[in-house]
Amino acid sequence: MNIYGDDGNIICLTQRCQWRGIEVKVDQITIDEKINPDKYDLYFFGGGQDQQQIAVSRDLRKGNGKLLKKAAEQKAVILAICGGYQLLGHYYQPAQGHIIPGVGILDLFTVAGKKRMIGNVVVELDRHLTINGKQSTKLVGFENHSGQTLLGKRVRPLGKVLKGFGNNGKDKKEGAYHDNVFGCYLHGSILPKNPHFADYLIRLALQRKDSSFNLVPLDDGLEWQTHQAAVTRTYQTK
Amino acid sequence: MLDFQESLALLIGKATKFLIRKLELGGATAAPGLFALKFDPKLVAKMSKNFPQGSIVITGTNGKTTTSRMLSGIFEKHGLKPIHNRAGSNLLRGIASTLLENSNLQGVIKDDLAIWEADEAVMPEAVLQTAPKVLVVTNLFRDQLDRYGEVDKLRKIWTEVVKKLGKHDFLILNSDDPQVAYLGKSAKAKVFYFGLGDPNWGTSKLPRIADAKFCPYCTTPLNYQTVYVSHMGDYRCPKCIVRRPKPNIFAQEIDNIKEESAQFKLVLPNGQTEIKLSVGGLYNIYNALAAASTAWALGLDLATIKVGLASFKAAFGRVEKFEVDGKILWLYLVKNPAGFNEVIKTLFADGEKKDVLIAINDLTADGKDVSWLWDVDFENLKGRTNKLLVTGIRAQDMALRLKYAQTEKPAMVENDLEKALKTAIKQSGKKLFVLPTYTAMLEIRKILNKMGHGTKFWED
Repeated sequence: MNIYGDDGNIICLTQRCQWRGIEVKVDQITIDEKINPDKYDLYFFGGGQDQQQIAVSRDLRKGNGKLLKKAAEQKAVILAICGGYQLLGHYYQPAQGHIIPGVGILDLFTVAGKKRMIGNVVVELDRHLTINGKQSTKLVGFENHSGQTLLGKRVRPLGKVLKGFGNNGKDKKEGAYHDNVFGCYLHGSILPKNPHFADYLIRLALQRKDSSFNLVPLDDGLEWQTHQAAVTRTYQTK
Repeated sequence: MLDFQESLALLIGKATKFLIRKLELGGATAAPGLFALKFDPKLVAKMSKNFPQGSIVITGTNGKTTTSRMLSGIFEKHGLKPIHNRAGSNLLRGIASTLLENSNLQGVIKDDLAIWEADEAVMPEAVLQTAPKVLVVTNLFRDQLDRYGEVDKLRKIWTEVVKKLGKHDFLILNSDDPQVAYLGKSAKAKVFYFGLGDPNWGTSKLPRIADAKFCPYCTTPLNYQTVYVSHMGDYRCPKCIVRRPKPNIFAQEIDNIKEESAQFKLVLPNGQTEIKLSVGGLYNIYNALAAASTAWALGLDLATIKVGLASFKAAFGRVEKFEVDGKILWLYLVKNPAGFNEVIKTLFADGEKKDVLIAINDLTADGKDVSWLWDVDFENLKGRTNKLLVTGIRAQDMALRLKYAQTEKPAMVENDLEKALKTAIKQSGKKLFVLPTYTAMLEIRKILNKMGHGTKFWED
């Protein structure tokens, strides 16, 4: 599950660590490979199309779902985008055919809608997230989904939609998080243009082993320029 | 005899074109058709019955224009006069506009056959209306996902269209593209496959961004023996019987791949010949194979195909050369990750460092979501550029992508296209390579025209 440019998030996380002298090893886990919950600090789960979603859901039910849940319980960081986000919930109900069961790590479910929710998005980060908000308290990205996600009680939205549709186009919520598990509909890719969120995830992953760990700041001039330009562009086009 | 509706539509369409050209509002390659279709939605179907040699529809994500033009060139060498919706206007209105352009007020067309490029989503309507003798499918990539939603959905729609072709019609398919080749299973028409047959030019690993990695029948990840371009290659499903069909028409002994050249041995069921192209890259060999297969299916001979392909020159805006202030400016259109990767590969195949200007817009025709930039292997630009400049509406996103690809820092990140273009021309050496998305390309051409270089696009 890696379409829509979501690999950009892996590139971003890897570079931001390497620029700080933090060694990173990236493994790709595919269908029929077993997740080892003790091995990884951070999991990235991207978007995919219906066919792939069905295939991955099948694989998760065979065993990887439970292993991913175990990783989440051990406070590994999980970032899931779009299709991956939907599969972290209880289930996804497509327009036709059977319900696709999810892993149930996030208290939410998704139902296919008739309208395609497409376009630039600006989100105000949830106030309970301790993300360094000096440069911006927003997330900016691009959404493209017809699934409507509804959040349950045991999860908080990643943020409030300022421009765009968000989870379902109705309740002005976008994304969801619980402990160290984060999911949302934002492509872009999301992390390069939102370096505060990228660093937040890196810090959480590293503080798992060493709770006093702090990240050296990077020169994010271009990142913030791009973030601002994208926010402006969203307001121009929505 | 024309019915009233068709007559009215013809009149409206021709009047629209006359006004647009007279008032210098544009190329009139889409609007006349758009208005005419409003008056007679069946206009294309009615006028398509005119052609003694029938119609050909070419669809796919990349290569439609090049394949259409290559095929046109082959037919012209054969002494047939095809009409073709040029200038890349490949929605139904573009087809209608071309028909209007080439007919008189009575709807009489003097040409022998029609070659239509059809946009991926418009292909069903185009096939329904033009009732083609041949349907050619070049490939299926993720391109402007925000317009077409999902690749799977598109392939399912295409399968329904393929079923409608008659048993005397032809279906020309790319054997190396799993999603496209699989369409052959649903056809009662005569199916011919084309593909590459020179593993020296392939690799054994899939790049990151492939989107047809899953078996179209059982969704199991495919195994590849050879990968040629993105997800195209020699594949088989480890679980079921799906595998790459043996191509009827293929390319061997590929050689001399540069910016402006590619050579290969074309192997057809009844013979083989050496082909020399004046465009470069493996992707253009695929285009040449598609054109050759179509011409061969319709009975044209090897000699005609060879000469026709050799005479091909690049279409407007896809790859184009301009002379500006004593320098040569190359325009390479970029639309999606696979295309961009191939452009980078082709550009630096000769090992020389180059001056590059990248122009990224995010209007509808470019694709509004710039996420696709993160699927392009810009890491391959590292150490290969002299001057690197970035422009377009999303210049910052592009510059950010380059930062993470660890290329040279761009000398300029400037949203104003005209300013950036003029600076790039001034600062570059003898050659400047401009890589724009679609609307940026149109704007750059306009600017170059204003400066006195290049021809207006509809005269190509």
